[in-house]
Amino acid sequence: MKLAFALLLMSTAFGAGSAAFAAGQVLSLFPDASLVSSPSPDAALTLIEDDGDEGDDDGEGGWFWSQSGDDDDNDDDDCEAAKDASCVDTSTCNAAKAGSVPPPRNGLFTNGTAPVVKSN
Amino acid sequence: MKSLIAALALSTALVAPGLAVARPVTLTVNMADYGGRGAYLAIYVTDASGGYAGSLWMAGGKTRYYKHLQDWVQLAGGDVSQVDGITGASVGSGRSLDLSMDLADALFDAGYTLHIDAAAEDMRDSPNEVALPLTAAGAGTPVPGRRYIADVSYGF
Repeated sequence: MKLAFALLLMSTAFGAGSAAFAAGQVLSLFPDASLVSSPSPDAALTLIEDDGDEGDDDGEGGWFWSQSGDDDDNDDDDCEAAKDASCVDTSTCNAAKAGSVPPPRNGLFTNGTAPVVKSN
Repeated sequence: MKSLIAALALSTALVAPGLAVARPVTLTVNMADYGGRGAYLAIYVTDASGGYAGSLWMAGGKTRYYKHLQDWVQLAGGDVSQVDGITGASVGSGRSLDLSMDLADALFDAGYTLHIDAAAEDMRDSPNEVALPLTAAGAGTPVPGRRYIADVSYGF
């Protein structure tokens, strides 16, 4: 009786193991031993761009860069056309300050005279 | 004596046209007490058909914030060279800005309009904060702004 019971138990164990192998399942002693997890083929990939512009608020209609601690008097992080010869991309260069270059010849200023500003 | 008169007439003829086309104008912008940091202001002119004629002043030096001056960016194409040499510091809450300039006389009573776009940190943008028709009769008459500017006026 004991022998029949042992044979039955052994055949059950072998049968279950082979069925699992045939189904392509890999049994592991560890919950997740794989180092690389590959996404499924239809998984959507999202590209996140960071242009380095703090508080970019396109479309918001307001200023959202207070966390930057930026101050108008501090232009260290920007290239300036009037000072920096390496500033080749004019779209990112600051405008030349009044007095550093002549005003634009737009026909509004006569004789190319620059405006004189006084702020108080 | 004749040569002296001729020289005088010639010099008058040369100088007079220059005086006729130039008009010294003082533009005064009084900022409202909006309670924020210095405001960026784009001061520009459109012609009778609403087309961009040119910029007169840009208050605020960082190009990356010009996108908040929405109408100016749209009309001037965000071209920084448009404000090269006419750019200064932003203008604080409750302060005033006086611009003295020699403007072309042809700008007055010809359908031209002076516009100011304004924006300040952490506050709403204000495109076309002020639209001020350039007329001789309008000199000395303050025009109120919408959000950041208390009033704007110009005088000769």
